[in-house]
Amino acid sequence: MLRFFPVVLFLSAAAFFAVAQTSPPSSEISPTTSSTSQTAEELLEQLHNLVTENNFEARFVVLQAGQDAVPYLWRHGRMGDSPDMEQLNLQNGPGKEFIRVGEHVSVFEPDAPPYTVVGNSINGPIPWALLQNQDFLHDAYEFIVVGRSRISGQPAKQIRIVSLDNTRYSYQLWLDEKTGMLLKLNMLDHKGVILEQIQMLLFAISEEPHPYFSTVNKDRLPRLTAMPPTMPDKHNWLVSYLPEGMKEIKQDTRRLAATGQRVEYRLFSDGLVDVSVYVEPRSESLNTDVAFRHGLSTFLSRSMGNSQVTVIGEIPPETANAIASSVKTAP
Amino acid sequence: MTQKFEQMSAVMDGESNVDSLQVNDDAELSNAWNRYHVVRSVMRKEMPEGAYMDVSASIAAALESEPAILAPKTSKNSSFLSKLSTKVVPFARQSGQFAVAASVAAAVIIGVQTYNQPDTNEPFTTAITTTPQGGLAPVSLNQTRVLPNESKQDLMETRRQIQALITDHEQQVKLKASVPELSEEAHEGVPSK
Repeated sequence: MLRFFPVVLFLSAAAFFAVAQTSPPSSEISPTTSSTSQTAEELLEQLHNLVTENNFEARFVVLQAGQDAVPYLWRHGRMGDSPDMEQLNLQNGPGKEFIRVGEHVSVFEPDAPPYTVVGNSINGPIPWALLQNQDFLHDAYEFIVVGRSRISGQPAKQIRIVSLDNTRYSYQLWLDEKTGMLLKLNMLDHKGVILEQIQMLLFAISEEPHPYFSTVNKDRLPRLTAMPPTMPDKHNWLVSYLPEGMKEIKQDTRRLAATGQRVEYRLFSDGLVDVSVYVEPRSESLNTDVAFRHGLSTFLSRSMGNSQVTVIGEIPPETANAIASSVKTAP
Repeated sequence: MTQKFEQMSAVMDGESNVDSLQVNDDAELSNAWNRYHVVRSVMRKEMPEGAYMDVSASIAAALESEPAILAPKTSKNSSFLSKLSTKVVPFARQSGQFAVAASVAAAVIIGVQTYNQPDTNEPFTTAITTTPQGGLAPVSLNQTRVLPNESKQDLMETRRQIQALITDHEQQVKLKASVPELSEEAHEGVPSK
């Protein structure tokens, strides 16, 4: 009898949600999480430990609406005292390969010479901040354990990731109950339509690192790339609106590689998505208002006064517009 | 009775170790199973838009209990007036039904029209509208204009600028995690970007 009662409660709650779909998510329905012992925080920490400490091989696909599935091979290995190694390989077409040795990430692409940059993780389809369980993610997103279901043949814990101010796309994350591995990650728009999906197909932890890692000749990897020097002058504009938890991580003045156009540039990130803001003299740029979707990214450019402000990033068009409109001359 | 629901609920929440639960054999239980999953999906916002709900059973039941009226009663020794009324009333009823049907059809049409409208809340156009496009009216050849070279170039230039920005954004995101190294040892393998 005791267990039956919550079900009645669920039904009335469900009826309420069916009517008012715009109502704020999660907090009212937290009773469902009572059966799950681990918090989202603990589960993400478990994921972080798994992908940084263990020898494993995984295969997953990345899916986007109306596009081909993109399969990846992902391996991680620890060999004695030497720095850990990670490999991410795009399996279709001419491919693409990332190899990380300690803090150096080498990238091999078919259409460009290989290069190496500094970084403690590979910048692949799975957001690195999620795998690293970065604290700053909690400044921008709420992580809610919503129960369990079966993914890739395994019982899995499900976590919802929602931006605190609801200005960004949301995520659903499924983690393997046994190992803590990421099994599925959905990126959703405000209507709940899936924009991108990452689905794990195969995952195995092994005692020894994969033999592949012993074939990597660390001395033959491309040498560290010098980053192009930047002009460190201060911009005379500021972005007065940013979604909650989004921070400026870079600011410079450069010339675009393709056109040579001089741009004032800032990069913002909340850990899951990155947003670029460009400001150019209006007469030397688009000189019109343009907005469209490019894959998951929104491209939005507006003429404002003497400037052309362009915002690019994986955010809803409304948010991109709010950011662009908030660009002001610094006092 | 409630125990089996209780057990099933526990299985769904992952709190039970029962290996097998005969849901299929029990219509009541299988309905509840179905319903609980719908409830769970709604609560987790996993419900697809326009989710399918099986209401056929309840409609069938409602039809079943509907009293069947075969023919209105007519008294044999009826007056002219009552004769007239039995003729008029069905006619009036029928025309009423037509009116209802027509208004439903109108409502459907309006509904379809409003559904097919482009979303006016969307503050953006999805296409680049810099210059008028030629060949908009294929009916008359005279209407087909050739774009002046200048605006063609403008369009190309716009595309080029947009592409340059997108490429740059992607490049910046790619290199985001890396710390800028002061140009110590640049070598030939450096990408030109």
